[in-house]
Amino acid sequence: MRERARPRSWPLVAILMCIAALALAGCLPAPATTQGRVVNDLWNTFLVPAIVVAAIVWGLTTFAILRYRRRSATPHELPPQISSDHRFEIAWTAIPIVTVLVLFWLTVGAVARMDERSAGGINVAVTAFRWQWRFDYPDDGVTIVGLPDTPAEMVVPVGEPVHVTLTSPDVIHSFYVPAFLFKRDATPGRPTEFEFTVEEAGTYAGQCAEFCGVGHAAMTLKVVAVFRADYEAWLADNQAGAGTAP
Amino acid sequence: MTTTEGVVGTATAERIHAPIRGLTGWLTTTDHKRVGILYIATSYLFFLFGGLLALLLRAELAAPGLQVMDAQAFDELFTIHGTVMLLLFGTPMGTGLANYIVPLQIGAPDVAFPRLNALTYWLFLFGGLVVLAGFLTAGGAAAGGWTGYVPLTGAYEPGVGIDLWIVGLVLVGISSVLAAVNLIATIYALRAPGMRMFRMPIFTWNILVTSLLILVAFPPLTAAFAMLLIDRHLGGAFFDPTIGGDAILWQHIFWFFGHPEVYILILPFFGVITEIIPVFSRKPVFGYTSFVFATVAIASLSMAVWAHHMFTTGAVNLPFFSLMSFAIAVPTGIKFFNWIATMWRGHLTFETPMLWALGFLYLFLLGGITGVILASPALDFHLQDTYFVVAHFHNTLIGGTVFAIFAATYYWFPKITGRRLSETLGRLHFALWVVGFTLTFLPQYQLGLLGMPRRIVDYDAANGWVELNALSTVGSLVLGLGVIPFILAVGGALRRPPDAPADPWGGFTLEWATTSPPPPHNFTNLPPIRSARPVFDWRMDAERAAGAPPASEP
Repeated sequence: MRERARPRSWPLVAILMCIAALALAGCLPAPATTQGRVVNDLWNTFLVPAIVVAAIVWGLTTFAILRYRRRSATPHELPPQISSDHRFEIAWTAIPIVTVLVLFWLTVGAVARMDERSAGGINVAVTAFRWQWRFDYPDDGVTIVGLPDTPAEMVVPVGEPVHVTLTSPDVIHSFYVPAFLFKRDATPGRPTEFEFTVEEAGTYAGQCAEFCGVGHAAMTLKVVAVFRADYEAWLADNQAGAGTAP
Repeated sequence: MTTTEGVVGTATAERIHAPIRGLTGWLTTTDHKRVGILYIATSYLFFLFGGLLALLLRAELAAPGLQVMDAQAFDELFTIHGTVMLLLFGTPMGTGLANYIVPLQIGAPDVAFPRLNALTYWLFLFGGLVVLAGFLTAGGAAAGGWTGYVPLTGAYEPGVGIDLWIVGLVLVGISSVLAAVNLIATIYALRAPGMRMFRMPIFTWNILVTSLLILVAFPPLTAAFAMLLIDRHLGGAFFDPTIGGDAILWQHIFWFFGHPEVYILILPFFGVITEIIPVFSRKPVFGYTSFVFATVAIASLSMAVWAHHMFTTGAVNLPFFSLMSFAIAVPTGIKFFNWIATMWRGHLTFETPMLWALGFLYLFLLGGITGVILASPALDFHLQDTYFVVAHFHNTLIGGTVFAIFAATYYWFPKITGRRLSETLGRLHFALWVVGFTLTFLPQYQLGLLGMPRRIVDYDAANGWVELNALSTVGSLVLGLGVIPFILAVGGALRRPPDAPADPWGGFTLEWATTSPPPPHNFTNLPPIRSARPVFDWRMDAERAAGAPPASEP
């Protein structure tokens, strides 16, 4: 009786896990930037082989458990003692090789699209420090420095490329806005640059993603994307000199 | 000592070979089986301690707002949790199982260097205690994360806790290297006649490859720790960018150790699964040779993927490290299909070791798939340092390593102690862990996709992470409760008199040819070794001779 009852619970576990895996599908935050859209598309592409591989392996395992459990009629009979079959072994070596090469090729394409640099737009120098952010707009003489109670807000124009240079004066931090589906580490002594274009006006929460000490969790920030006219008005309001966030 | 004059010689020999009883015996032992038991028991104690820390961390994250501890305590706890689980539980558990099982599997009376072997255990124990001693200092334990990124662990964390962490882990690292040397020498030099390399059990093969990997991976870690100590105390500037050092250099050296380390944590346990599935399917392992080459391929590739931990630094070659990381999926996939093919057309039974092995197949697969996702730099830009990564590596290390450790424990416990663990408690333990694991870590994948960073003590309720975190904390409680039936099973078994037969499962490999537990020098006689399954052949020969059905089926 128990011999039969136990294997029966396995398909249930397998099915529950498949559902859980499917629940993961498409649950990235809606991408807010042109570059984030590339990541989102790649994620959706990766989900297909991920689900297919899971279905094949979980399916075959579940089938083997149900079909090949020992029957009470033949308790001591030995099954055929097969120990290799080169046709199958070559197949399940070759198919994964092709699969990962395709995934690699798609990845290289996505990274290249994310690395494309556009002309125009604005420059922002981001400095991550323990434990807040400083945003310098070198072309307009605006500086925003966050305080523990008033996290820094980076105001950017919608639809225009934002060229970011990123540094840290102390330890390693990471500039991360989940809705951009992107982060980049701020490493002392190694300035780095990246670009993003916000496609829709709105406020996007972000925070430091590289552990930097006891204030790490409080190192939040916001990116506020506004239309060009509002952006220029905001610049004018803040041009007086270094101040805290608006 | 009531010997007569005539047999004094034999009595002396027996006295020399008889184990010293009591505490002195355990403190002075050089018997690989006793050293193995010390390793396994100590690793399990560290596991319980690390698990307790994890429950505290989950309690803090159960809801927004600080409820259990402050940020400093949280940072210390996740640092020590990671360090304990990887370096004081997972790695030494592999060494401990290898210590006990490998000499038996190759038909050897002991390891090649028994006293060196004992030394490695004591170095590991005291190294581990030095790390934990940080909790006793005024500044608390190390709080820089188990990855110890500089410059944070340089001038920014002046406490003595990090120094104890460094020195303790150097001792543990030396212990690992010496243990690896010993196991390699044992496997090369002490195999019984007929035990050719390509007849060795896959577990022993994987221990050999893992030990070679330890020789490559741990010395760089020791070097990195020495450099960090020089930076901290002797005015060095290896990692301090303000005086010409490089913060990225630490990450390169650390991950040159750290990525092979995750394979050091899984390859022995791939071996465990490859031992268990054939026995409970009553078939030889499918694709023995490709198992060996897949292990070698994984170990080789694992040394060329370290910078996939550094994609978001903007300082590494993305395509190379991405391709190498993708490539590891191929030999791992081969193993999966070989495991399934081993079960195919077999006669499967579902005793506790097999249950854990099957749980491993279901859960580890998800960790493997999410690993392929993380091998893509474009996706990693979003997922790096979020709970997706936390879920991924706990998936491979719990759904993989820990499930296989439990499989190994239920499988070899009768051999080691002469007593079987309760099947009922074992099934309860397994069910709670499958449920607990799923509840704890599937929500963490989703939290990572939503962008929750790891290593934060608190989060804003407005981020929408509240329910998933609560679910994950509930799951961690189920995992914690799930340990109770295991402890009861072990405690109950040890109180009973030993009654396990030499071969309770119908095993294939040489450890089942000797008594449970084995005598001091392991074997009084060995079966002939003519294939990778000497005990299976032996049983078949005996049956053929007797014309009777097998006697040792469970």
